[in-house]
Amino acid sequence: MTIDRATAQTDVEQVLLDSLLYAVSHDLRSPLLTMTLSAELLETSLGDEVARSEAAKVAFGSMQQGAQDLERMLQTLTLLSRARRKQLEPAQAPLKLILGGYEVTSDTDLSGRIARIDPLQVREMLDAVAGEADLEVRATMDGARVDLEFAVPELEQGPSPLHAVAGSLKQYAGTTVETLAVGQVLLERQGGAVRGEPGRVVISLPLEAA
Amino acid sequence: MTSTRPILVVDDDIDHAVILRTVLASVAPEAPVEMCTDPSRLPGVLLEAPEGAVVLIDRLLRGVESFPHLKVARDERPDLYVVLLSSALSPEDRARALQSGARDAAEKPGSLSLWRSMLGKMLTDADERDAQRGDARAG
Repeated sequence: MTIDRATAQTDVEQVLLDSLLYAVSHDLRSPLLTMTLSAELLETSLGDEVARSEAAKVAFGSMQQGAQDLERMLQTLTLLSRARRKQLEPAQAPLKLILGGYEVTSDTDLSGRIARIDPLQVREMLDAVAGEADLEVRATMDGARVDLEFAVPELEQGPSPLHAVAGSLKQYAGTTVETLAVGQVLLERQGGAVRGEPGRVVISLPLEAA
Repeated sequence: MTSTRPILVVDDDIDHAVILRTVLASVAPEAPVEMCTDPSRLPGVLLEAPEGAVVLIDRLLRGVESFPHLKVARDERPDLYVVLLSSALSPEDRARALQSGARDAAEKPGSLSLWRSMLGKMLTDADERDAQRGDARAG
C-alpha cells in the first residue's frame, strides 16, 4: 500500500469514527431519556406506594443514579464529538491577553508575543482548572512555541487529558479533565498540543515569529 | 391561565411522543394534542395542522434531518409556532434550526420538571408572539 493510499484510508476511517462518535453520543441519549422519564413517571404515579416500600425506593434511587452516570458520560462524548466537528476560523491573540489574571512565571519576556490559537479556548481550559482559586502558570519558550504548565490535581494518568478520558470515561466525565480533553481536541486542530501526566498539564501554543 | 393552543407532536420515537403528550397533559390540560409518529405523513400533516398550533418536531425522523420541514412550515404556514427538539443539540444545530424557520430549538431535557418548565415557556412565548402580531395588525 502506498503512503497516499494509507493516508486516504486513515482519513476515511477518521470520518467514520467521527460519525460513530456522533451517533453514539446522540442515539444513545434517546433511549436513555425514555428510561429516565418513564421511571420518573412511574415513580410519580405510584406515589406513596414507593415511599412505603424500601425495595422500591432503592430500585428507583439506583435507576436514577445509573441514568445520571450514563447522562454524564454521554455528555462527554457529545462534547468531544462537537469539538471534532466544530468549524474553526484562524485566530490569534497576544500571550499577555491569554494569560491575563493568572500568576505567570517565565524566564523570558512574553510581551509582544502572539499565539496563533483561539484565545477563548485556552482561557476556558485555564478557567476550568482555576475555578475560584488562583492558578499558577509556568510559561516556557521553546522556539516557535510556548509551553504553559500548570497543576491539575484531578489528573491521575497521561499522556494527555484526552487519553485519560478515553481510559476512564466514568472517572473523568463531567470533571475539569473533561474540559481539558475537549480543549485538547480543539487546540490540536489549530496546531497546538496538550500533554499531561499525573497532577500536571502542559498546553503548547504555536507563536507568530518574533 | 393555561394555554388552550392546539399542539402537534411530530416524533418517530413513539415512547418520546407519548411521554411528551403525558407531560403536556399536566402543563396545558385543555390544549388539544395531536401526534404524528410516521414521518412519511410529512409535510402533509404540517400543512394541515390546526390554525396557530405549536408544533414540536424531532430533529431526526427515521435518521433523516427535519430541517427541510421547518422551511416548508415557515413558507407555507407562518401561523404555526414550530419548535425543533433533539436528544442532543449543539449551538450550531440550534442556529441552523432558527435559520430554517423554527421559532425555537432545544435539547430534550432529562427530567419531567425540566420538560414542564420548557414546554410551559414555549407555550407562553407562542401566546405572546400572537398577542404582538395582533397588536401590530391593530396598530
